[in-house]
Amino acid sequence: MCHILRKFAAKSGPVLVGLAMLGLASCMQRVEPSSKTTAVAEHASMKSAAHESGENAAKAKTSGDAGGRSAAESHQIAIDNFTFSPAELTISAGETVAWINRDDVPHTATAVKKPREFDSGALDTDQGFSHQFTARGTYEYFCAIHPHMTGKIIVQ
Amino acid sequence: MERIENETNAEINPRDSDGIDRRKFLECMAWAGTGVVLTVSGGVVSSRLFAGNPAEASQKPAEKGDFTFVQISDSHIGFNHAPNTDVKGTLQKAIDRVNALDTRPALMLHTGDLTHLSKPEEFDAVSEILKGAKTDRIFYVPGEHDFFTDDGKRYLERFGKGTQGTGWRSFDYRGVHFVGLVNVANLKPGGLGTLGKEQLEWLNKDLKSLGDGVPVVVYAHVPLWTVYADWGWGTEDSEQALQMLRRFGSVTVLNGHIHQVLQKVEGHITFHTARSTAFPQPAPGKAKSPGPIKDVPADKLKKMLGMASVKYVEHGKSLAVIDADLSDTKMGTGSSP
Repeated sequence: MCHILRKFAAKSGPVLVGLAMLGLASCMQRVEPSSKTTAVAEHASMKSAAHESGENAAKAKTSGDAGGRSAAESHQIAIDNFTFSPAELTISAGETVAWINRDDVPHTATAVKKPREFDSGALDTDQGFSHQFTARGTYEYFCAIHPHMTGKIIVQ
Repeated sequence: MERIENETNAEINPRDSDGIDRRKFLECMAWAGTGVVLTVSGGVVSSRLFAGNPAEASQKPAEKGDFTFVQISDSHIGFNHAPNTDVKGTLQKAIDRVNALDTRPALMLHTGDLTHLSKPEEFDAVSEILKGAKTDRIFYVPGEHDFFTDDGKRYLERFGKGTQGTGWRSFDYRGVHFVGLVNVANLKPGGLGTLGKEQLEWLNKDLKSLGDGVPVVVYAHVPLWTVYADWGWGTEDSEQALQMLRRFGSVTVLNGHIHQVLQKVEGHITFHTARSTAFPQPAPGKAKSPGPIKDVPADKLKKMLGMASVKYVEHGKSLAVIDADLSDTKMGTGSSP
């Protein structure tokens, strides 16, 4: 699914990806935004399509909170081939971004400006991390292991 | 991932050679990995088989002042994907190769990425395996995989003894000045490796009192020359360090990070990157990204992993670096299967 979206994004740009994401949103497991912001967004259909091994469940970063409330929209960023896709994403305040690492090596999504708004820590292959953006602004981030990988979240 | 062919074992930039005496040296460097020892003495290159046959096995013992040391790199303990799901095993194989050297190496350098995810058990495994290395001392510099989770706290707790700042240090051995640099701390987005102002100031002080004739060996994780900027294969402020090093008659720079052998000569500075003991990476620009080359058949994998031994000949003009891969059963047999 992510691969299709990535190709779609490459052609259509972030705005249309946003619309596509809305379509996906209903499928996605609602994530309880916690003050620590280290919650997992596991997309059920992606999980079954992409992982046979089941190690994914063991490795996922969980918030541990089972309750679901009507959280804001969640957007996906795939990490693959040392690239964040989409590299630039525009969302609305209150919405959540979920990174998922599809690459063969670990990556991070680490905010550039200190104090860091978010830092996923090491995401091994198939690990995910999500963060809810409450304040408007532009958030540049990079991979702390491979700093030439950069991305940007614009919160409107 | 598309299939990548990586046939390159060593790349040489002849345009960086600076004179006719270098051309032969570079030709000989192409033999690196087949067990040929090269020594440069007074500007003249000579080569001999490194214990190539049993008759030569009982070579004249190391001459006074000569010694050998080894470089291993990028063990990535914790990595568990194609093409290598047994990185502990391949690291052990590299240590076995070191232990099979005809001359016991005086010391070992690990040029970083000891672990894959800086986990305590990964660091522990490295220490455990390296305990079995038949050498007197082991010196380390971290890679970004050892540093990124906690700014190197765990790495420095275990391997920071004797170092300063983010883990840099220098030491002398038999008249050779070794300098370990850390270029994986405080990485900036979009950037390459970085040495930083504090470390460069320290380096300046450290080198100041040395005469130009002292051989210098610099070891650091990320290459100190720009191999391929798009993949972060370079150090943004290494030029400042190289400027300090240019006055010396013999400088050998040993790096890792790129998981393949590349060599370059620039004046009196010889740059060398070592293979990983865990997994190979594509040649610069030859793939979409610098991740592990995945579809490597098991028998070919061994040829793409390895270590390097470096021979210092007293009064020699430069150090001879010999790369070996894990398919050689014994270092210096002179032939690979």
